[in-house]
Amino acid sequence: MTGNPVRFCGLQLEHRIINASGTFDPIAASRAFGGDVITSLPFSAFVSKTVTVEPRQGNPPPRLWELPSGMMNSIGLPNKGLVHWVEEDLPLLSRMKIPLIANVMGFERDQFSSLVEALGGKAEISALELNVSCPNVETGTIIGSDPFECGQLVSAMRLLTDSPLIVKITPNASDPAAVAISAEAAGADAISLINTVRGLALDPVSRRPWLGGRTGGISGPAIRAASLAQVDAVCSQVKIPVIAMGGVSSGNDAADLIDCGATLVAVGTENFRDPMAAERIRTELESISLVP
Amino acid sequence: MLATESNWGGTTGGRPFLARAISFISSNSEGRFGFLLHTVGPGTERLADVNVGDNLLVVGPLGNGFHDPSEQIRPILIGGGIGAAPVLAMADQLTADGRAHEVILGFRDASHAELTSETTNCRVVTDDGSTGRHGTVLDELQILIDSLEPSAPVELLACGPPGMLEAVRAFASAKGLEAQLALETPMACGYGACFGCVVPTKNGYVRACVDGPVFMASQLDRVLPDGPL
Repeated sequence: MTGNPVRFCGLQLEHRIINASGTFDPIAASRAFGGDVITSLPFSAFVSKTVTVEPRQGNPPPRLWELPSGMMNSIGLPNKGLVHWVEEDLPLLSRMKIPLIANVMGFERDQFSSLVEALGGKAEISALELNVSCPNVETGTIIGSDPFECGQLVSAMRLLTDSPLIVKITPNASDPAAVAISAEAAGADAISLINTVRGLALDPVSRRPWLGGRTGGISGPAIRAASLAQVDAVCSQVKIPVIAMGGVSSGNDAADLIDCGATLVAVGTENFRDPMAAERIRTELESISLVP
Repeated sequence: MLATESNWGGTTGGRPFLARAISFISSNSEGRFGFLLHTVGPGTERLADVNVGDNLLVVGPLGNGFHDPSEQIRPILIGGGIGAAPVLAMADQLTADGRAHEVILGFRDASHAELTSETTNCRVVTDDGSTGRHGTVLDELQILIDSLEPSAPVELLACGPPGMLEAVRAFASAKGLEAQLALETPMACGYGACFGCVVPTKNGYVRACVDGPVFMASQLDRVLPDGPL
């Protein structure tokens, strides 16, 4: 039964629904909705927004474009950087009653190393998710779309920490399953997929790209079927647990991904439409009988 | 038989997808909110189709509204088009507090100015002169300020299209006035999660939803138009 606790990378989680990185901010939500939000999140684990070594402003606006059945974003990983995140955000996030998974991204190997070394040993952090899949930053796409590059990176990070390593691979690769296989062989503890699918929108007036970052990442129900196919392919090829995401907006969507082999399901864009969507999705999922 | 209708999937079929950030024009202590709607796209069109008894998922209130200028300062409220909504909500609050204030509302033409039939003590202007004075809110603002004693301190509180807000910002900057500008920018979440609604300020990009949408004009180099630069 899905309502029962689930084991994931040595963690005992209350249920299968977590958030996708960058789609929920417990600190901002607590300010917007009241202080108890941070201790009553609708997720069984929380994945942070991507942390980089240096602070980042992110991409110039506009950053959003609405699509039929979804949206496209070009956010550009704005964050306060490793030092400020550890000093300012980590103490607040440690008030959560669920495990914290820190999502990190480097623009070169040394930056990944700095992040993994700094965060891997922290008691407040239960696992690290390596963002090798963000389509808005060129370097991430290269590592995450190439099985060899990805394997090299994971091997190097594996030597630096005993913390569980989750590798978030990109859908913008010719063979995401090959990347997952390589990550598993290099010592990854779990795979998460999919990140957003690269897209483009034109300004209806000027006919130039609408988004400040030129291209963006498509998310929402528009990519659900693409996600299901990639999750199915990866789950059939690796033995390590898989966190699946991509357009999940109902318990049925989550059940589809679990029936393809996912251990956890992440809610992303649906959090934007309804901050408590994950609770509804979890309740719906618990009423569904999954394939044993 | 195959049956379709216009807007059957594909085109606008999946839109609106995201929630729409909308200011309230009125509120009361029983949690009843009034909204002003101008149908400009699939989101507002869908909201305009809502019937009594329909369920809506409403998240809010969110963000930081106008704040009260200090007692000695006379607030001048300026609304352009649909931006009249938060301006009139603020005017109601100032009236309830017994604060003297001025309201300038600008519209394209009389057909877009219907709500002024229910407002009192507002200076109304239209682009074509079909109702109110012929001109812009900036013209009216200049007339108003010229009519006040030169030493009377005022603060501008404005909401409207980007071009109007930029004109108010430039006016305030040139005259050395404080101005609060309520920016409108598309949002995905409204509660600080997505970082999609950032506006450039003198301190870098900040989220309109949680750090605004009302900003002091002095925080901004300029109010940018919608769309790519």
